[in-house]
Order: sequence, then structure tokens, then C-alpha cells
Amino acid sequence: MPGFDTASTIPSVWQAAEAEFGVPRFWGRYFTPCPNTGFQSNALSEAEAMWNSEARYLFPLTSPTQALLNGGTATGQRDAKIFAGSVINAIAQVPGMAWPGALLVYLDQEYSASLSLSYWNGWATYIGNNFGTHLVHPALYCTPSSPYPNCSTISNTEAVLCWGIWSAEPEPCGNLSNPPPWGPETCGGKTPTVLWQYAEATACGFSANVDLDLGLPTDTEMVGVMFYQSSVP
Amino acid sequence: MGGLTTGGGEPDTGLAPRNDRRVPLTISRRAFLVSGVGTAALLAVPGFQGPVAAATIASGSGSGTSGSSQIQGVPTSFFYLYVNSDPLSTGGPSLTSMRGASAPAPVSTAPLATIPIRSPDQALVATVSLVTGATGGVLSASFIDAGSAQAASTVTVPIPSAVIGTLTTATLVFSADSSTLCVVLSVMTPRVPTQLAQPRWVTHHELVFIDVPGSSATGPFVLDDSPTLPAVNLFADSQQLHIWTMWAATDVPSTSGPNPSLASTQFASFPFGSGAPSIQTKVAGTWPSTTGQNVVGLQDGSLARVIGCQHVEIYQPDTAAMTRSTITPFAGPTAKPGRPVVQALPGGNVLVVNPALGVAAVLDGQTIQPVTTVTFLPPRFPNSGSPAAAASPDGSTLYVLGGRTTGGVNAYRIADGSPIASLNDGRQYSGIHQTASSGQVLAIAPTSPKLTVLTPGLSVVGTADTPAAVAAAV
Repeated sequence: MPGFDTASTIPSVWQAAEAEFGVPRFWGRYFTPCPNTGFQSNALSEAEAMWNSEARYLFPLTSPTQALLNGGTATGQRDAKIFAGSVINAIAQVPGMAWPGALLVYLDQEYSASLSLSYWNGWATYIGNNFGTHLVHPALYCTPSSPYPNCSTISNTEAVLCWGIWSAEPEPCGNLSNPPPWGPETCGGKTPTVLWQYAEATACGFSANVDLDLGLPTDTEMVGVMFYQSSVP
Repeated sequence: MGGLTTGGGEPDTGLAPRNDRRVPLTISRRAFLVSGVGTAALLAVPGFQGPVAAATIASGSGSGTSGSSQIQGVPTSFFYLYVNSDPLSTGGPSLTSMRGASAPAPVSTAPLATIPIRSPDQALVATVSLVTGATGGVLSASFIDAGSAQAASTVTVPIPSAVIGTLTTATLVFSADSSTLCVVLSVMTPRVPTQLAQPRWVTHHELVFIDVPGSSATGPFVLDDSPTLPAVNLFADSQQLHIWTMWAATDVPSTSGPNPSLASTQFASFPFGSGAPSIQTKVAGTWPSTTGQNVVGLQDGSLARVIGCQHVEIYQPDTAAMTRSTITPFAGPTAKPGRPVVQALPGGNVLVVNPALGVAAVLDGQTIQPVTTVTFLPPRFPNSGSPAAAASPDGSTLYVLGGRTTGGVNAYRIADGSPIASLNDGRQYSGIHQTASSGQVLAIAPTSPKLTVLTPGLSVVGTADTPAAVAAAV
């Protein structure tokens, strides 16, 4: 189940991406806090472009100020509250965008950033308890082989449960129609790796400004944790 | 005040305070580069103790209260590092300093509430810590002399709303003349939802104004802005604090779910020392974010809010009138986000860098139109804690991390984008920082040795290491 993720808006990249790679199954998009334009800034336009791309699934990610991932519980909760607000607000703007039975949302932790236990617990606790009637689970984008704490943080006995890892390595490159065999770096332990970013645009020399991702081989499991666009927005 | 807890509400166990937050910095084997006339001696290796170090600094000029000193004829500076020595504990981040061959010293012992900031005149580093309590909390703002790493002053302010169970974060900004530190507190209070769709926390903001020379404070001024998101953008000129917040539509009670039309950005201006706004209104601006948005003051008094490196919103502070435009050199898409760099330059122009795009542009300080553009290969880590690019204090040189296959550090002449110097060591650095006092450059790497000090011409002065997680340089 391969798809795209991008820091740019879907309208600005989808046609070039499909010309280069074909039709994706899903899109991953950033929501505030993030250093780039978030999905919530023009949710309807982004959803329309996603529909035009023939993808039907969307998963949210957030990229707070990376230095603050080193911080305390309050900082983690603050970033989670902003993120939750942007996701709820954005989806409410898009007719036909359905919440799944359980949604996975991803915290971006870059290779060179350190994730403190306090920040993770503040972020993850808020995510798991403040989406009203919707069931939402915290997950983490990271490079398991990074020298900075990521896997060790979420596997700590006092850590709030991390429901999945989106692994940034390795990057064998490839395309949508013929992705590499499932082989991401993992954290091991009890946290499953559910997504794998197997190709980055700059590393693989793409023309289109998208990265390529592969979900768990079991298609049903992945679609069950993403937003689903059921009709034309 | 009984029952004090730290930061996010973690209980005080009553154990002895952790005095030793010293982050050991050990010298690397290739640390010394003393060879020939004019070659820089090892400078930034604090923590090295021994006769060799003593000999190295024999010609040093003293404590450097002017902001720099020299070792064997080469100026040195203090670098300040925002670190977490034990991310898996509840201790929190702290500030440490490194300079020359002096022993490393923790600058702060209390867990910091946010990343410290430098005053615009580069003389001070401000840190803030927050403690909650049974009947209220305490905000402590400490000012460090940037040239000596010595504590200059501390101001404490009672925060009545910071009771145990609440969570409070701080956002800091200095006034343009460095005389006032503005602290905006985002206070998150738990509540029992009246409807299923409501979040269980509600936020409001409070303002504290700290008179730096006078070591005094006014506030907190509790803003009547609840419910709001705990996200703010700030800018302080020499008289007023300008603040962007976001009305939290998702927190408004509704039986039919959140109403997106209620989500709106608010703009307000507060004279220093006052909780009464001179202007407060809804604006059509972008959601405030904790990252990717930086505000600079323009020559005509208007405010330029750079959004995600692609757009700029120009505000007239007296009326909140806003115009929005795209920054032409940054119109291109990127697959990865890049931590933007927005830096005011001498003369009033503004430097904007999008490391993910590989573009830096100098924008005219009045028209915000691009004047010059520098292009470079995007680095491997365009979105790290420390920025991937920095301009020299005189605005002439741009330092950028090298491309993802080459690594190193490169310097470009901003005026015409031509390359000036390179550090071709093949290492992948994650951040770069330049001091104003000596012009030395600090390159931060995720792997050992994590800290490399360079001359303005990108010659290696020395390296140092630390087991702590280095989140950013200040």
C-alpha cells in the first residue's frame, strides 16, 4: 500500500508526482505545528486535489520545533493541543472526509533531534484523550538508528504507549508500482513499524516534491487508521 | 510555598536538588591545531584540564567581559547550548556554556521552560523556568552575561494561576532595544467537558514584562482570551509587544461539533507594563505556530510575519491592516520541511533562508522584495533544532550546512551568492551558529565529536564533545 507524503500542499505537487510515479493510495500531510504550510490552512482545496489524485486516504503528521522535543510535559501537551485543534478544524471543513475507527497521528522527530520522555508523555497523553468522541492514537516518525533517544524513549517503562513507528530508513528508493520488499528499520520491542519512508525526493533524485511511503502489507490495517475521503469534497 | 512541583506538574520527591548538571565536555584527540604563525590554537574545548591547556592560553587576555578574549591571538567567544543531559528522566533541559579551555559549567540548574534567547544587543542570554505550586507558581527569569557566562540578574514573578495540575509554557521575546524581556505564558487548565466533543484542557494567556536594567517586573496580566490555542507569535519593538494568537474554535461548546468558521487569528498590541491592549482584533492571518513563523520589524514601522518561508504577511501595528504576498524565490515546493531562518540584517534588510529548498534571499527592508538570492544544495538535516544557515553579524556572509552527499559547511558572499570558503570534512552537521562578538562559527553534529568551532573563514579551531543531547545553540 504505497503512497506519498509531502511538506508542500497537495495541489502544488500531485500532478507532477503522479506523472512520475503513478496513483498513490494515500497522502501524508503536515498539520500545524510545522515549519511549512499546514493542511489546515486550506483544507478543502487540499482535499479536492487529493480526490483528483485518486487517493482516498489521508494521515496527519506534525513537526514541532525540533529543539523543543527535548523539553518538558507542558511543551509536549502544548504542541499536541495545537495539532489536535488544527486536525479537528481541518477535517470539519471537508465534506465527505470520514474519521476512521481509530486514527494514527504522527509526531515528526528528525534524525538530529532528541525526544525526551517528558515531552513524549505530554504529547501522547493529550493525543489519546482530547479528540472528543474520536479514537486517536499517538505514533512516531523517527530514524531508529539515530544516536539520539527515540526508540529508547517510547520503550521506557514510564512512557505512554506509542501505537506505531513510521520509519525513515533505509532508503532503497524505487517507485509506487514496484516498491521494495518490506524492510524498514524498527525499534524492536512492542512497538510495531506501520509505515516506511523508503524513498526521499532529494536522496533519490526525484523531480516531484514528494517522498514515497509503504504501509504495512496488510492493506486493511493501514486504511483503518487513516482519514477516508468517501465522496467528492 | 508548599508542595512545589516543577515545570509540567511532576511531583517534588523531596530529594536533594540536582546541583550537578555539569555536562562534561571532553577534548578530542585531534583537538590541538597549534602549528605555525597565525594558526588558531585550540579554543573551544572547555573541560580540558592540564598543562597543555594552560600553555595554550598563556597569552589570553583575560575574562572577556567585552564579549570576547583571545588565545594566542585568536578571539574566542562563549557559545551557549540548550541541552538535555538525561532525556529519559524528568529533569528537563538546561543551559551550558563552552569557551576556550575553561572548564564547562552549567549556566542554569533549574529545568528550563523554553529555549533561551539572546538580547538583540548580544549582551545577555535570558532563561526562564516555571514552578507550579499548591496556591500558585513562580516564574524565574535569569539573565546571563553573554561575554562571561556569569549570572547578571534574576527576576522572580508569582504566577497565581500556575497551580499544581495546570501546565504552562512560555514564549519569550526581547524588545528591540534589549531593555525589556516580554514573557507570554500559555496556561493550560484541565476541565470536565460539558459535551463529549470538547477537549479536556482550556488555554488562556498571561503577559509578564521584565525591565532588564531595573531587575523588576510587571504582571502577570491575565488576558481574557479563553478559549485560545497555546500558540503565539511575538514581536516587540521598543514600546509595545505585538502578539498573534488563535481562537480555539474546537473548544467552543457545540452540540453539532466544531465550527471551523470560528477559528480565527487574533492580533493585539500591548504597551510594555500593561495588560490593556492598544489594539485587539481578528485578522485574516495564518494560524500561529510554534515553528516556521518569524516576525521582524521593517524600516517603516510595519511588521513582517514570515510564514513557512513562502509567504509574508505585512501588518500595520496601529490598525492591524494586513497584506499577504508570496516570497518569489521560495515559491517552489519541497518534499521535506525546512526550519526557516529569518534574520534582520544591518541596514534594515531581512535575510530569509529555506534550507529544504536550498535558497536564501535578502529582502528589501521596506518593500520585502528580493534584493539578492543565494542558492545552495539542501543539507541532509534541513529541519533540526539549530538552524542550517546563519548570516554573519555584518550581513555580508552566509554560512550554510553542506549538501547531503558532501556535508561540511560552506560560506557564500551574500551580495552576489559567490562561494567564499568551505569546510570539506565530509561530516554531516545538523546546525550552525555564529557569535556576534568574535565571528566564530559553531557547527553541531549528531555524532561525536558533536561540537566543532570554526574561524569565520571556516578553518577548524577545535572540537569538543558531550554526552548530552544538544538541542540548539543560543
